[in-house]
Amino acid sequence: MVYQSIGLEDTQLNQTFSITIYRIVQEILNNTLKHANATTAIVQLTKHNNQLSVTVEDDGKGFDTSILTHSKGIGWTNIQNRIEFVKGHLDLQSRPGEGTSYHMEFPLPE
Amino acid sequence: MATKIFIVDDHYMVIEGIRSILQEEKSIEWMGHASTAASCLAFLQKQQPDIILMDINLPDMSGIDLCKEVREKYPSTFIVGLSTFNQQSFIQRMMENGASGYVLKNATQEELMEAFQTVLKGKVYLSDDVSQTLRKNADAQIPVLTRREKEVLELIAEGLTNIEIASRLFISTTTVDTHRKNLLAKFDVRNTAALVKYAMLHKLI
Repeated sequence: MVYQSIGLEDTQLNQTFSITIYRIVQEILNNTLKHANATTAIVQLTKHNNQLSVTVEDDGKGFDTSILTHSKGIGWTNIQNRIEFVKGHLDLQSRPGEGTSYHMEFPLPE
Repeated sequence: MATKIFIVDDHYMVIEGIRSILQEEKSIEWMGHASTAASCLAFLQKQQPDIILMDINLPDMSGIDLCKEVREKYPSTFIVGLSTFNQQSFIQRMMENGASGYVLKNATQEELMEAFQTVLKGKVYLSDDVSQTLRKNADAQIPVLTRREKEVLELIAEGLTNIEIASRLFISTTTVDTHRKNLLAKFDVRNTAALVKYAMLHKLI
């Protein structure tokens, strides 16, 4: 597991916001551990101006993302709700056999 | 029994040079050469040498990838990387992919023979210059890139604009810009030109 952050050295985030991000990353990593059968994972936080971007990525078995359009799974619904709650935007990349990569961008609260 | 040597390199003069260096060595049996990865793999289907001297830059495939493939298919054949590049990233990736040693093209006959003897014992051989490079650059690690960052980096190197990259990857231009900024920060470079140079230098693209 690799963790790296850029531009966050002297950033203070409000608590609701940071806990929301934490829960999202936690849920994704939980999926990685449970399903992906991955050997490595990256968690990356970067901040530019007033935007935080978060990437969570693994080299596991991946999945067909089209199943998510009908998914009623609690985990996935949670991730979506939390991203929506902090007005984030998700770019999800995954295909069977090619690992999974979540890239999310969040406007920082004033 | 003579050690069977095979060489994969796309430079004729290098092949002939090494062949003439090794000609007088009684303990060496020259099996021949291949100038592409494909012809190397074809040769290996018929005969397996004890040691392959493998160039990093091949016309159809990188030696780094070829090394991995050969080691998987023919685990009893040792591979010694051969290159003019004395660069940590190349050497490291070659070794990660199963090479037993790495010599530079300025190696002497003695060095080459020592390399063969060492790897045949199952040990790792690195020429002096190479091991110095590895030590010197131990701190200057290449940063870890995410999948999107790699994709964006490749498209930047192809000369595409943020807008073009965005439509190619089905993401917004601001997201492309985020990736671009992250790349600049990770490599600690000031602009895109320096970014591309760094990436080329370290064989990331």
